Amino acid sequence: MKRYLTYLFVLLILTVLAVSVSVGSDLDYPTRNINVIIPYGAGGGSDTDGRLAISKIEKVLGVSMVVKNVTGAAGAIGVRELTESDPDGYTMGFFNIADMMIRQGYVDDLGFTTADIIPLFGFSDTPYEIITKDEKLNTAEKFIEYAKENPGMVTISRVGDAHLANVLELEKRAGIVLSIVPVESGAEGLNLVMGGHVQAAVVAPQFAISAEEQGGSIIGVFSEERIDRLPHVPTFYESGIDLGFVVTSLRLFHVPAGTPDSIIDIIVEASIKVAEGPEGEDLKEKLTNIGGVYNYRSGAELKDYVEKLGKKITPFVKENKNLFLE
Amino acid sequence: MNHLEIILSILTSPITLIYIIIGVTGGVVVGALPGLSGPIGVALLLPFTYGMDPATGLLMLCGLYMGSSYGGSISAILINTPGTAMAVCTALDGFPLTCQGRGKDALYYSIFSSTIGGFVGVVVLLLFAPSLSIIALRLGPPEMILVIMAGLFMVGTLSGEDIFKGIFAGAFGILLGTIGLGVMSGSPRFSFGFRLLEAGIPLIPVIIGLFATSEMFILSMRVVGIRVVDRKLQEANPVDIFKKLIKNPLVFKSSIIGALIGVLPGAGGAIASFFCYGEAKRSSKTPELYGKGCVEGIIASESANNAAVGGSMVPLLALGIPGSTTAAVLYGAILIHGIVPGPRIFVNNPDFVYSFLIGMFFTVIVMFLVGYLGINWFVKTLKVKLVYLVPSVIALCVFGSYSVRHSRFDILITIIFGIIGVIFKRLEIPAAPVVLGLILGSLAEKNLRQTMIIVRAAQTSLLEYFLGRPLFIGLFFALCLFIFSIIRGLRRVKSKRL
Repeated sequence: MKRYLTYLFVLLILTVLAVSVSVGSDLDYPTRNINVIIPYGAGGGSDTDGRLAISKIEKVLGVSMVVKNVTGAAGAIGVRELTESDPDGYTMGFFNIADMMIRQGYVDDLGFTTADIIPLFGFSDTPYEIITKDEKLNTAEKFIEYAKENPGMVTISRVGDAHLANVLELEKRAGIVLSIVPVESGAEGLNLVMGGHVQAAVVAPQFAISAEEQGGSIIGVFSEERIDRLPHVPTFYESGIDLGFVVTSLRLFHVPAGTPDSIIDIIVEASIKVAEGPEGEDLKEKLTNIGGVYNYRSGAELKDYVEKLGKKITPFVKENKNLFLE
Repeated sequence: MNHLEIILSILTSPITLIYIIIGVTGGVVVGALPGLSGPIGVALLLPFTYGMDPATGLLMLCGLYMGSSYGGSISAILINTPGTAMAVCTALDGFPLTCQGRGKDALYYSIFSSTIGGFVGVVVLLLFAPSLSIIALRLGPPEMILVIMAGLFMVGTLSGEDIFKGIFAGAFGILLGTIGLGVMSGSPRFSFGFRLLEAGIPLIPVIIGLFATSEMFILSMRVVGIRVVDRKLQEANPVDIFKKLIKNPLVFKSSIIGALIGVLPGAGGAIASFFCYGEAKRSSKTPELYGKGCVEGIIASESANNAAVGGSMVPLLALGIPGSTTAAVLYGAILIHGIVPGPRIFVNNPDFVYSFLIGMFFTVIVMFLVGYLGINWFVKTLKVKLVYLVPSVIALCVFGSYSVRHSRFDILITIIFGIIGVIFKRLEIPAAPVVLGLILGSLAEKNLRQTMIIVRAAQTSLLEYFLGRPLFIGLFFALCLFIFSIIRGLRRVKSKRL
């Protein structure tokens, strides 16, 4: 029995060591591995994006960056863990800040606010598209005209809060009412559209391209400008719909509020080196391949952009709180 | 001709073969270790494939997927701890065989069935991908509800002696699935104000708890015996087993059903194995032998989950629609090389597609070799004394449950479900229906609510909408027949016992 307990004890210690974080000093930064929390599942879109960027940045910083997929509650659990970590630059987070802005607008006790995190930089900002297979709906003009004539009869699938915010804003500005069908992934939306089960779907560019290859059409892009990957598809603004905002997949690296400026500067500096060097070209190519739109931003430019977006999204979500909770 | 040369050069390159061997062996290992599973392995291996030739990288990942679908059966058979949801049904008959000293028989049945299943899955993928994917597209939310219902009725065959205990376990699983934020709603359910519960009850820690941890708790409470099974292990005759297996139509039936279930969006190896196990028992002339060491249970479950691997690649390659979590990771692995999966992939990237499709056969062959040659090593597990085995498996359980979401809360879930598993065993409540309920419950809810929204938008009645869908009507009658036959089967088992 004693031997049994000793063996169990040793194994438990080893397990704890394997899952715990090493502790060291941080006089000059970085001296040890940096943890990066990605609040979505390993192998998914956010995870792939994040790991690609990380593989470039860690070369510049000279330390390993270890990804930790802390999932659950549409990303909120991982972001909460980030806000509860020490602001010493050794814990970073990678996620779509717009998702968190929306969630804090309709969830009362999220446990954090976006004021608790500082966005540092991001390599991609990918707009969403609406696809359809129905020929009578295949342009924004036709889509809106048909939806006006048949209120509530057009079905559109959406994945998360970001998709929902775009659809609700489209409904409001175009004066239409749609039937919104929640789905679990962009792939499921594409499946429902191509099978003729719903008439339209909000999806990311790679699924929009797949839809076109299979005889579907892209109605429009939720973006201020057309995107390189889909040069023939007009934005909803071009189609005459004056959207108050567009929510994109704005995947950024963040640190907890309170992180010293000197550390932030070192990290941002490293990302600039990546963006301007040959590694940036490779990253751009790979991000584009997986459906992203490359758009490096950091510093004041990014801060401005995020603040403006927050000012537009927050009141909208508060106003339509029950539609998000439904 | 040029294409053929490129394809041959990829397939005959030793590098490709080495990566396949690494993938498959890794898969067998993560599948066999309770706590680690295929999807995690595939996600972890993904970044290493970025620098490889796309077909080679994908083959390594699929090899891992293939290997893990088999690997789960090893620990399920030998120590009654299915490492993955896919192997839950394998344990039902595999472990009783080990207790009878026929562990080697069970392992040979498992590797032969997995290999045949794997082959059938790849053949289905190679020959029928475009036509099957068109049928899969026609299955919308209303039809999926019927398919899921058929799956839930399998509780009837998974229950053992007392059907009400089985229904209780299934309902318990469905209830667990309702905890947390649903797909359909932004507000949490049954979280009682605990933030951690908002994220829901994750599947993997529940499986580890119910099957692996609870088994270890029971073993550590046991007074007699110094090993899991003290009975002497009988030698097995693989040639004889193979001859028996190939004569049994069940292996082909389960492989084909497994491959077809793999094609369905949102389904996967676990549902395929549950479904085929239930179907094998339903159609068996001797259903009362199931759960007591019937090799047919292993054949059905193992051929189905490996066949589902090929099946799940059908919508991915032919339509660009990844149907499961693992398929979504593979989708990313293809995209990153600038190849867009979809109907035009056969025209745009023939080198890639055909090297991959043919290479899939290699993964099955490598899996066979690893599994077949490894059996004499695997059974050494039975020689390990409990004082070493129990703490090692518990440590693996803790590590495995933590690694899914990096959440300490999941370790607690594993321990709680370990205790629940012990209670269930004492009360003779089957644990397998809990897993079935947990997987299918939320899937059923999602499809039902989607159907309701779609029907409301069509501004017709439910009946009118369903009548306009011939596929729905056909499936509905098939489901009725199926339910009828399950009930009749239950009656028959009952009357035999009396």
